[in-house]
Amino acid sequence: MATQGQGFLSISNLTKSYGAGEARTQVLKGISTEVDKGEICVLFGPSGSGKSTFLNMVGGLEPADSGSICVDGVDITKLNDHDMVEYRRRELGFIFQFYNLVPDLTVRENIEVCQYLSRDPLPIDDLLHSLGLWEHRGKFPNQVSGGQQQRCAIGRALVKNPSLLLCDEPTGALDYHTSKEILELMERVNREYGSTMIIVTHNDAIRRMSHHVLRLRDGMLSEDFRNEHLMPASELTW
Amino acid sequence: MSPLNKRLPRELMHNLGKYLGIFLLFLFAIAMGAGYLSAAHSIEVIQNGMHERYQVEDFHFATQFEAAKSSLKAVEEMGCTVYEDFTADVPMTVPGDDRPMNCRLIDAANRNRINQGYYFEGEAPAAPDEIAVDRVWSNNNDVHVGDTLTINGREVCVSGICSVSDYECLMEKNTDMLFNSTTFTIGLVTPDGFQNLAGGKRDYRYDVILDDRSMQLADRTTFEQDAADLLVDKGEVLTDLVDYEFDNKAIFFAADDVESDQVMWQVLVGLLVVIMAFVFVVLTNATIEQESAVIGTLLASGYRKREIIGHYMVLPTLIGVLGCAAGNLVGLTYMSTPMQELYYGSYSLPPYEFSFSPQVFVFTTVVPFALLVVVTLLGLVRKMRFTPLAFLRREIASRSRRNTLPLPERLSFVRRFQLRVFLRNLSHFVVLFFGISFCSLFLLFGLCLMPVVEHYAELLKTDVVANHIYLLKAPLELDGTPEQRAAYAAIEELMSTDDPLSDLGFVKYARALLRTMDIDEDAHPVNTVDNGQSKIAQAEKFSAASFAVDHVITDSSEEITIYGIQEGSRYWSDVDVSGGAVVVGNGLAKKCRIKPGDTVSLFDKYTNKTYEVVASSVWGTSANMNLYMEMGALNRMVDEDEDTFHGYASDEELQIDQRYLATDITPEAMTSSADQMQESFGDMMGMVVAFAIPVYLILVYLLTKTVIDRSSRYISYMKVFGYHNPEITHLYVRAITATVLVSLVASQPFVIWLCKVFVSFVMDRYSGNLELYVAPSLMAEVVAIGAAAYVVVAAAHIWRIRRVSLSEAMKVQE
Ligand SMILES: Nc1ncnc2c1ncn2[C@@H]1O[C@H](COP(=O)(O)OP(=O)(O)O)[C@@H](O)[C@H]1O
Ligand SMILES: [Mg+2]
Repeated sequence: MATQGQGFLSISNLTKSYGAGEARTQVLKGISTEVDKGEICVLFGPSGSGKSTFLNMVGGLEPADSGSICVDGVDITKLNDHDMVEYRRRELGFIFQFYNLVPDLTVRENIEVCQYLSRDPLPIDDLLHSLGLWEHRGKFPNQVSGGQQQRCAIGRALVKNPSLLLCDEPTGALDYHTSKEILELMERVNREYGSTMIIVTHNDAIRRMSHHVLRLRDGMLSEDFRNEHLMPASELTW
Repeated sequence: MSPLNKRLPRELMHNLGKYLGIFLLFLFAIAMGAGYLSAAHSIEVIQNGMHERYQVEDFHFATQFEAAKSSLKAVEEMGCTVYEDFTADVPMTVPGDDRPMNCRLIDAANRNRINQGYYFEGEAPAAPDEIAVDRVWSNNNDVHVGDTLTINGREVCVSGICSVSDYECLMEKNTDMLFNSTTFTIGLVTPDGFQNLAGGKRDYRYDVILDDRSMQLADRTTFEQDAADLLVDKGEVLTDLVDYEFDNKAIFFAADDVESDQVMWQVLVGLLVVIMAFVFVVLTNATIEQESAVIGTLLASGYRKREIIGHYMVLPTLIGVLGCAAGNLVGLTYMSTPMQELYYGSYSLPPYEFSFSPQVFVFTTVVPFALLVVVTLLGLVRKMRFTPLAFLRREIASRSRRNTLPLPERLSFVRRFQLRVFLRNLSHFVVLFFGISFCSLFLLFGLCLMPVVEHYAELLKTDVVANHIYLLKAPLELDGTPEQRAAYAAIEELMSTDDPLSDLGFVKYARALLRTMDIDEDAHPVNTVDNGQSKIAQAEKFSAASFAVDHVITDSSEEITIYGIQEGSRYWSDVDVSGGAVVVGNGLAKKCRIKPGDTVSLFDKYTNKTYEVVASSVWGTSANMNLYMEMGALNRMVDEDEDTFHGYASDEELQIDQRYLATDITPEAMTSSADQMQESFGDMMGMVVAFAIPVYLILVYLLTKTVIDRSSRYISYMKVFGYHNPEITHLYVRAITATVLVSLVASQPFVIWLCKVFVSFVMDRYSGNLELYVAPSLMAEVVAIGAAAYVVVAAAHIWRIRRVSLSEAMKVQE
């Protein structure tokens, strides 16, 4: 359930640039926004606009030039290496466009990689059932379809029951039907586990299932609003 | 120039560890291999040239008494020149050292004509109280030009430090097993100096230079035998006949040593080259796997396979060339001196001159380099049969069934993960196992030889059954009447001078002659000193003969002594030679693979006769290279008088006339010869260990690094998910650590077996039977050194894991 106004993720004046001198490009020029607990927040923007950069900074994978990122009241830009790892470990789940599964581990083992990190993980068998992966749990990533691989990646992100799921183009490599399946799954995850999600995507249709919509243009947020009416993922078309 | 080449510096930096490893592997292998083998080759060239360059004798003989001029003339008429080259062994002491030493006096002028010498410092003796001594001995005893030595009670001044070409190796007696450069030296003196220092003592040695210097060994030995027969016909008593190449240990021992050591190093370098080839295979595969996306893209964009292969050949070839160049440079400059020292520290060789050996260059440089190029090329060509798509999908890494093995879920996740790492890298780990075995072999070999030699010394000691084994030049009875002793004392007196009548004066001369009247010519001479009944009673006669027995592995032979002992001997009490039994020493039995019932061929190189005996049992320690049979039986076999004998075994020290005594073998003498052996092996083994440890480090590093490298992407994922570095280390490095440790321990039986084969192969050319005995503590040492070296490697891996960046996971997957 989406609960309003808790300011779970609070970002202010975030800037980021790459390179130096002539080659210096300012990717983010001062981003401020609030993401509430339990929200599905979608981030649009043309290719190269800095969406991944933004997501990686929230994920603590890249340092910010200036500004702050507060998660649950803690400014993660100020964390040291060890605490940053602890932050990712406790709070975050990642879902990538290309699944990023470990090819030598079975579906189950890939999920176990993250189960291992949690003191209080979700029961893995239930998760496998609910992701529709139970039959495939002993298979290796290259033995299952793309959709199944992404489900496995979602399972891996979910299993440690993170408070924030960061998804970089989760359906970018999937066909229409599979994409819809994945979106339905994410909607269900949001509902059942109450996890906050930031989804980076090209797909405009996703805005209709999201509580919160952000659009990046020229390093600034050109749109930042909340949807009044949500459409279930199953009804989306594009 | 292909635009791809711009990537080369980056590829190099990115794989710095790998290329540095290959570079260092080349550097070490070549520096040690070429360093040693070139030095050995150069020394061989020096030695081979010596015969011509320094007028080295073709053979020499010695007579009991001074040979008649006419006898020598007769020999010369056969086609040679005979040089009188008398020597005398005199007792000597060095200031500040109370060890008794032996100085072999040689007329310095002789060493200008034959078996020429060379002075490293100072000059030839010019006055009767001057002497030039051997370089190695003077090094060992810290003796310098200007020092004063005490010889036979007189003080002499060291005028020069030299080496002479017939004592390349300070072998005191040709029958000695090892040289003695600590308490034995040659001393070049003036003729007056000789007379003063030696008194009347002389060993009558004659050096022979053949008219035909290029005569082959077989013809030469025939010539030598004919000369010997001629001398005997002329009534000379021949005591020694030594061919320079065939059996003059003082001349060929050094060359033999160099030769047999070379075999060892060739095997070591050869094994290393094979292992290097394996490493190249692993590394090439890893490169292709790592670069598969790039390769796929290039192929898809229309690059020719040839261009891509060319591109990926550049760096390995470059590194190979650099490594080879650096290795040769270091090997031929920096390593050259320590490698020479291995021999110049023990042998009195002429000054070192480098000679280039194409064979060594090919073996140590061209072959490893060619292997690198060929293996890399083949690896690339083989992988190029995959389609661009296969590269793009990273499907080129062979996925065999073991990678998809289901693992039981009751195993903890960590265990399963580690097992997956292990299974995925199984082929690396197999190479790793052999690499580790091979390096352990080096280490074990380097470490085990010293204890083995120590053990050997103990065994040699136990094989000397009496406190003294006196070997005689001719039979000499201990027991006799006072009249007999007096008669022989008279003979000694008469023989001690060239012209007894004028030296002794008429009266003394006549009395001496009269006393000799009592001598029974058919009986053996009697010792002039009465040792007393109890000592005489406990001394036991034996006869002895020397033969050569063929080795099994290489085309060489073992010099052995066959003892004719008395039945029910009090010294060889448990050697049963009754009924014509022939007992074989355990060492000889092992080395020449003789079992009871086997026929043993004994070759007498002086007479060219071969005798065959049937071994009936084996006795003694594994160092025992003797044969035993009943005294009478031995005498009959070699056609000697029934009652002849060649020595006494005695627990009591005996006074024996010097002119008859050949050797006094004591247990202590055996120990000191083993000390010598240790000294000569010690440095070499140090080199082997110094060689093994860096090679071990590099090898293990390179082979395990690929495991980390090919997983770097997944390591990055795990960092993203929130794994701490130690946790990742635990998952990845543990699997490697376990494999390394298990390989280290599990390979030990294999390594010991290899080492045994290796040692028996290497040692075959050396005399004696060294038994490899690996104490458990030594195995532990090898494992500990291996583990310690691995700690360094593991530290490098932990550091590498820390360095894996988060962005690696973020890179869009191809
Ligand atoms: N590590 C980096 N170094 C330099 N420039 C980068 C790096 N990562 C991203 N960029 C640049 O930042 C911009 C934003 O990239 P990214 O966040 O990946 O865009 P998006 O995900 O919106 O397509 C791009 O122009 C890209 O070239
Ligand atoms: Mg992106």
